[in-house]
Amino acid sequence: MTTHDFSDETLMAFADGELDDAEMERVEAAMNDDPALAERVALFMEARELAEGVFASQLAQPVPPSLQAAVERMIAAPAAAATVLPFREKGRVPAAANENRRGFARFAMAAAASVAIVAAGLAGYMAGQGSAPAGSAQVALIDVPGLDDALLTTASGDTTEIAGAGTLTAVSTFTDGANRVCREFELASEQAFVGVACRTTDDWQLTFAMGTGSADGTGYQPASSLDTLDAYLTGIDAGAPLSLEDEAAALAAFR
Amino acid sequence: MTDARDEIGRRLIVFLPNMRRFGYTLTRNMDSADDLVQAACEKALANASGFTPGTRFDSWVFRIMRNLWIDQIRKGKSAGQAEDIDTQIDLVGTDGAREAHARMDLGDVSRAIAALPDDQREILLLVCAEDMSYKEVSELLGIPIGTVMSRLARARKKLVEGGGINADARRSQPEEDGHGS
Repeated sequence: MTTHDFSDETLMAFADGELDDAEMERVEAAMNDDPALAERVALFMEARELAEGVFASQLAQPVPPSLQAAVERMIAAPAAAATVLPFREKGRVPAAANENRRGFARFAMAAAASVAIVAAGLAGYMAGQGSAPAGSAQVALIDVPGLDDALLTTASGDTTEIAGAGTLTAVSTFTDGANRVCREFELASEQAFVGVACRTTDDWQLTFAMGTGSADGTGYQPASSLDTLDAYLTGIDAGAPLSLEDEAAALAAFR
Repeated sequence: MTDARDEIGRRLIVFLPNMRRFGYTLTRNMDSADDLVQAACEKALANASGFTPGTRFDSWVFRIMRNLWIDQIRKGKSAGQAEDIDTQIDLVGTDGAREAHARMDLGDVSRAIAALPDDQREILLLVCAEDMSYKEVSELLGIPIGTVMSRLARARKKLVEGGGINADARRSQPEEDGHGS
């Protein structure tokens, strides 16, 4: 009873009610004898109370409507976004290419990367899936600006050879829920991808990409990739494909 | 599967204020916090089946947020963007707890909390605001309970120092009001 050699941690645990019954009683008895001990306990309680006040005020702050709406949209959308997400996480996006991107939302929501950047991420995704390791062709896309142009100039149903990157086949053009002009396309070299890119004022953003297997037909992932694409298109509220005429007009506006 | 996702969605919406607060505790920047919250919601929905009903939803969500944040820091993109704490305090509402500590400036305490090392601030929030036990925090963070306790004790000592309380002044007072927690 004379030596009250309690650690800060023990006294704090007492203040928080985290000690077992025997220890609680031991500290309580000691506190009765020793005001200084009671004072140390009181400081831990006081600190907790102060922290609670600050944290409570933070909790009282209204959630920004934009954030709330974004989350509600996610909840309402089919699980498509979920299946798109992994390649962004597994993909090893080169730091240099990544610098101009601001935050998490952009990173995680597959919204703001250029085609070339995401192609690099996609290579990582393919590797992560246990398919063939990222081939040089995909990595090389980073240095091949031709993809952007090809998306502007290739009519749906046509193909364009992109030097060093493979064969682009334009599938369709449509507008998404945000009224952006988007294109579904396939890109085949050593490996094949199906992708969706949407146009901003000055470049294409790849919003969806998925490996469909090797271009020579081996390792093709049946059905699932196209199901995923369909779910994704539903999720972004994709409109019906534009006619070739409308497509040409829409694409011309960006040149 | 869809039911699980819907259920997670409902709970996320309700939990958004707590997520923002935890996000701010991690990032010390409200914009980064909101980005983090959004990314975490997406991830939680994508992995809705990964949540085990009957376990703590808050721990599950916080773990997702932490992992995303740690990832982000490792990529070297978002560390060290703390904003002036005063911009956060503008929106503070008055409440009973605040008046009880009229002699203390809430802003001082906020600054003291913001100045804590990241690993202490996080634990302070989880225990004092989210009412997690030491054990629950230890499991969430993957560190021993002893480490949780030592960090939390250090944080609280700094807080009463930085918050304007000192033991000598208090000793001169005959009695302190009850400490509800």
